[in-house]
Amino acid sequence: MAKRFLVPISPGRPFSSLLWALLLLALPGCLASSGPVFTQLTAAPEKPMCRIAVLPLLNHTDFIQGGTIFYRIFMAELNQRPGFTVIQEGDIRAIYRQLRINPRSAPSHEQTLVLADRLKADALISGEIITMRENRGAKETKPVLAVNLTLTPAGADKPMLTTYHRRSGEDYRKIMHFGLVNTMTSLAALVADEILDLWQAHGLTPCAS
Amino acid sequence: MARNAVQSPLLLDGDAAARPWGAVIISRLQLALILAAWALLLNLTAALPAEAITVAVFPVDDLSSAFNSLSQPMTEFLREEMARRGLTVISSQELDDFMTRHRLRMLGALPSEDITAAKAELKADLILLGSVCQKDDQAGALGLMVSLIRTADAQTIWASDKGLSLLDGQRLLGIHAPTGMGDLQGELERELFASWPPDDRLAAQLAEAQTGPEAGGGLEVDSVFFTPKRVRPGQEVKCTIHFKVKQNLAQARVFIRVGSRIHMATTDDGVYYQVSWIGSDDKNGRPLKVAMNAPDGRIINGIWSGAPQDAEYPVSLILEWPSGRQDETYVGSYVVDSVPPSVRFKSPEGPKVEGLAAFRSELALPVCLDRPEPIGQWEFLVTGPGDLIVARDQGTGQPPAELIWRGQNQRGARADPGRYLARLKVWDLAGNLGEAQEAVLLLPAQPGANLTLAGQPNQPLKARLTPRDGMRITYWRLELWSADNVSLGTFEGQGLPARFALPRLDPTRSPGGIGCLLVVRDALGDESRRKIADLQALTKTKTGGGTGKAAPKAQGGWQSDF
Repeated sequence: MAKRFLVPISPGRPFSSLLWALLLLALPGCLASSGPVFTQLTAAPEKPMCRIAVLPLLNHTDFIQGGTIFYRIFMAELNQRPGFTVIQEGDIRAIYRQLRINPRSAPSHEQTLVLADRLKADALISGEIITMRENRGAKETKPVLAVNLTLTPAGADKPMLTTYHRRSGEDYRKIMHFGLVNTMTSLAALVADEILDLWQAHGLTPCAS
Repeated sequence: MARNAVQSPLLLDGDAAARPWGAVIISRLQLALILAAWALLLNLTAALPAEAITVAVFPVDDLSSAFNSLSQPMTEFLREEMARRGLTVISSQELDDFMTRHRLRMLGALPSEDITAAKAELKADLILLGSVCQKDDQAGALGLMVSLIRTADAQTIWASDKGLSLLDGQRLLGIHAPTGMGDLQGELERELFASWPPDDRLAAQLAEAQTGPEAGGGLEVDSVFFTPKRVRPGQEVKCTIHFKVKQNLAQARVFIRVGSRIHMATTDDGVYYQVSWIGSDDKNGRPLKVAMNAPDGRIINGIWSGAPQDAEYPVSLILEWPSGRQDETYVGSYVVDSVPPSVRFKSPEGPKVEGLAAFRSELALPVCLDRPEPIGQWEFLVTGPGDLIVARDQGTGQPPAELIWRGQNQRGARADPGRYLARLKVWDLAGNLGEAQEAVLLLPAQPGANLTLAGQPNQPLKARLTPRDGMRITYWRLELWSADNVSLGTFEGQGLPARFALPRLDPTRSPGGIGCLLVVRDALGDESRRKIADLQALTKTKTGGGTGKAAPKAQGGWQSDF
């Protein structure tokens, strides 16, 4: 009785093996596409949110300036989207000084009301950096970033959207080294972009530009 | 015919050859004039040339190192980049003077006030702010973020961020791959400024500057203090507001909005403002005193009675200018609270004696606030007979989740067994008092049992074993031993009281006397034992501490067994 092979040997096998190998290599890039985890706590307000204030983010990582790095990249990404007026970081810090709020601590609910009023903001974005690290290998650097951001309409009692998002540079690998994100700056920009895409789909409405 | 083939289509009459030469010349002059006028018109409406746009490149914040670090190479790189794009860059010296004048110490961010000041003082149309997000020579990584701000209205009109690594540049056979930070910087420059707006769009964006409403006449609230912030009805609230205005404040009328009521402040001497306020509970309110005693920073002191309803009352400062414009800014809120905190002890776990939580070593009393709220201070008391304070503890803030009393008095000595009252007082931030109490029973330190023997000499003894305190005994054992360590019998059981007959004790068989070991365990899990050297001496004698007759010294006391 002849042996039964699971994969029949045929002249075309080397080619199909190569295809299988390529597919297996590409698989991690396809699977690792987990999006942000978000919760919508309240309905979106009817009027658009034109003026946005991004409050200093809390940094729970070993990156000394991790909070500021993501903060400024997030502001840059938000500025690139039409229809939003992003309040200057200097204005926000000035009011933090006036209200004696430590930028390394979260403002109280009442302080956020005052901040929104003084900045004439339509919405406030606050949050924290949970993970920011670079795993360095011999031939590649794998940045990892996890953030938790909250969008609160001005004057609201509770946030409208909260989002936890964790990404690694490895998540964007397509095949071999292609697609890999090697810098924290690029990863932060991608994370910020993905969160803003999600928020715009769930009630962060810009003004007509 | 060849001439006709190239003649201008603007000529109305297509047959030029049929017209005189003079007419043709005039037509061409007209055409030239039209073209010149058209060109002039286009020139007038065209965007400003890039050289006419002035940009101030502020020092770049290096976030890859310590807080507020300057990156001089990146600052120079951005300055050169702006000049290469045809913009007029303000000199470093002018910029340094401006920063010194305005006490600008923080890099990477500017308040709107200073941005608009840069337009007035530096004649800058734009401000470029940059931050180095990442710079790692060892790993070969560079990240930069830049934003372009329009000084006319302090709006960001363009922003970009980019991070690059030498690893990103891996190419087939390594051709044209970046090899060092210099190559990386060149590539970063290309990618970072890839979305830079063209000159005409930049000029159009500058022209779009909106001169929005004047920002509150320059009203700037520096600080707000409420003392206290939570009050009981009728209690005074003092609010101190420190604010500045750019315009002459004497021209403005000052109002305070408390909740839905607006009170106008009037002044006699320009220093003190007063306002009368009648509370909605028909009691005469106290006048609101508004003091303004600083030339540049105004101070308002307001005193008014707490409103009668329990609620949070928002407070706003309103300035009304002669032009009719009103500047209102929310300054905070205070809370009127008349409800005392509802606090109680959760029923302690474990067996009870006479319906009371009983314990020997320590009692944990879990504290529960039925309506969670901020607590200002708390006090825990244990009182004995005659309201005598036995133990005391106190603190500020929220009370502990569990209060533990180890049965000790304030001197650290063990308190006498008996009934006590554990009391917890809590005061919320408005000073309302809430109280919880629980009666507890302190038992002797060890469980014990009273052993009574009755009988005639040379007759079997009748033994009666009863619990020493109210705590339920779950196990007991009585062992009889001769003086030479021969077991004469063992009796055991669950629960007391118990009656049983001991075998007849023959002193001749045990000339040294018959000893006894009594072991008891109670429902709390505590176990103790007691040795009685001579059981005969105990006949008609009760054993156990604190119940009348003292046990013979040779018999010893109860010992904890653990």
